[in-house]
Amino acid sequence: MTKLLSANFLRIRKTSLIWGSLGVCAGLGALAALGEFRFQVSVGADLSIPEVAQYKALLEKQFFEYASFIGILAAEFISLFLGTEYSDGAIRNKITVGHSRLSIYFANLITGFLASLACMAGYMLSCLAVGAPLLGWFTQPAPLLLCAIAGSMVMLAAFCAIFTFVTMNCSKKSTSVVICLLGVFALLLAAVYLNGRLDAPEFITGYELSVSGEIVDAVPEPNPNYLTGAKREVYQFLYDLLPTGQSIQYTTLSFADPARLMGLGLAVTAVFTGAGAALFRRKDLK
Amino acid sequence: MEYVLVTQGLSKRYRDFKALDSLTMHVPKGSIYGFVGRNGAGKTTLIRLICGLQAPTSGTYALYGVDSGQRDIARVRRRMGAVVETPSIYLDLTAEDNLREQFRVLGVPSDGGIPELLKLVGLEDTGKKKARNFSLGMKQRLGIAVALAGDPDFLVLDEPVNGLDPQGIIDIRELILKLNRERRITVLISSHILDELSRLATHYGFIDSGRMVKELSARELEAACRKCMRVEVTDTRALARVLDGMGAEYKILSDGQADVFAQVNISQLSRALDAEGCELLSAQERDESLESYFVNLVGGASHD
Repeated sequence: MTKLLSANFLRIRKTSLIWGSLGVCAGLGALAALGEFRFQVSVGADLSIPEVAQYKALLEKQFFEYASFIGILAAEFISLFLGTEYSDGAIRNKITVGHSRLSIYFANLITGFLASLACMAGYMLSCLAVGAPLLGWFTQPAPLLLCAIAGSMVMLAAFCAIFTFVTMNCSKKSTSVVICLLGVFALLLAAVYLNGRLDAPEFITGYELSVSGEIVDAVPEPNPNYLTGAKREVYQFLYDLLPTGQSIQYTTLSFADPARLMGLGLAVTAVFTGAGAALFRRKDLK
Repeated sequence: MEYVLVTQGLSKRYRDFKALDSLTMHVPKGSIYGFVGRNGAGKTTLIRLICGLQAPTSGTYALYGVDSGQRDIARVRRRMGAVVETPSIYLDLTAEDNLREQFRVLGVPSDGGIPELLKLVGLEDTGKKKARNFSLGMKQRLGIAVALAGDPDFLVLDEPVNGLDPQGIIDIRELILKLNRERRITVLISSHILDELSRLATHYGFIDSGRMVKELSARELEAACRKCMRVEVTDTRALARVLDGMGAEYKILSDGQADVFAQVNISQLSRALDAEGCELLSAQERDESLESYFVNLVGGASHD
C-alpha cells in the first residue's frame, strides 16, 4: 500500500486541486480572523483589555469555523481526485499490475483524509497567525480545545469514509461529484433541522395585553415542539451521529460528551469503510 | 509449448447477457496473439477478466501457470501490462509524470528508465505538454508506455489502432513488432481490423458470441486460406454446369462472377464454356484473406 500512497501523493502534488483547496482554506482562516477583528472594532470593543477578549472567546469562535465547511471541501476534493481514477481509467493500471482492491481502497481513503486534514490545518494555521495578534490567544480550557480538535479530526475521517464509499463505487466522476456535494448539503440541512428541534425551549412565553393597555409577559406554557423522552434521545443520537451534526457542535464548541461524539464518528468511519471496501472488491470495473 | 495465458471454460454473464461462454484459449509464449472477433463478441470482456478488472462467473484462467484462484496471481500480474479500451493515463499530467506515477505504483525505485521508455514510444519531445492535449495516437503510445513501465513479459492491447490515422497505425504496428522481437514480449492484441492484424500476428484466436471458434498459428492459417480464381463470365449457369462436369469446387458470387477453388486449365475452361455458349471475360487469381477466412468461420453476413 505504501507504493499506492506514494503514487497518490505524487499526483496530489502535481494537481492544482490540492493547492487551490489549501489556498481557499488558508484564505478563509485569515479572513475569518480579520473579519472578526474589524467587527469588534466597529462595535467599539477594546480588545486590548484581556478580560474583554477572554469573555468573548473571539479566537475560538473563528478558529473552529473550519468544522462547518471542511465536509463540503472533503466532498469536493475526494470526488474530484478519486473520480479522476475512473474518468481517466488509471485505476486499471493499479489492478492490472497486481495491487489488491483493498489496498487501492484504503490508500485512496487515507489520501483523501490526509489531503482534507492538510486543508483543515491550512485554515487553523492562517487563522491562528492572523487571529492571535489581533484577537488575543485562546481563552477556553486547553482540554476542551484539544477535544474539539481531535473530535473534528474523527469527524473529518467519517466524512472521508462516506465520500470514498461513494466515489470508489461509482464509475462516473460527474455522478460522484453530484452525489457527494448534494449529499453533504442534505446532511447539513438534516443537522440544522435536528439542532433546531433539540434547541427548542421547553416553555414559551407569550405576551398579553393587560386591562390597563400595557403589554405584559404571559404565563409560560409548555412548548408543543419540545422533544421529550425517547424521541429526544433519538434526535440527539442522530444529531451526534451525523458528521454534519458533529460539525455544528465543534464549530460552536457546544458538545457535551466528546467521547460519545468520537465513538460515533469512528463507528461511521468503520461502517462506511467496511461496506465500501466490500462493495469495491466485488465491483466490475471497465 | 509454453503458454503465457490459458483459459479454461471461462464464462462471464452480465444479468441476462452471456458475454463469454466457456471460452478456452491458449496464448503461446513469445507470440503475437491476434484475438479476432466482431464488436460485442467478448474480446474486451476476456481482457477485463485476465487483467483482474472483473471476476469470471465460472471457469478459470492461468497466467504463467498460476491459476486465477490462487493468491499468487497478484504477483504474476506484475509481469503483465495492459491497455484496455482507452489508454489509462492521467490527462492533467505530462507524459513524463504519467510514467513517474506508474513507477510509484510499481515501486520502481528510480525514475531513470523514463527517458528510455518515452523514446521507445516516440514521446521524448513532449516536454510539459499535458496528456489532455495529445493526439489520439500519442495517447495510445503513452498508454503503451505506461503498460511497459513494469518491464512486462506479457502485453495486452485492446483495439490499439482504433481511431488512429494511417501514420498512427504504422507507428503502433512497428512498436508492437519491436517489443515482440527485441524485448521478447508476448503480445495479446484484440482487434477487428483484420488487415492490420494479419501484418502482426503469429497466432490467432477467433471468437464469436463469447465462444472460441478456432485457434491456430499464422502458418496454419496460411495453409488453411485457400487460393481461388475469380472468374467473370456471361452466364454463371453455364459456368456451373462446366465446373460440375470438371468436379471443381466453386462459389457463385453474382450473375456474372464466381470463385473457383481448384487449379483449372484456363484454355480448357474457356473451350468448355464456349461450347456452352458462354464467354469467359476475365480470370484473376486470389488468395483468401484473413477477412474472408473469418467471415467463413463465424458465419459471415448472417452475423452482421
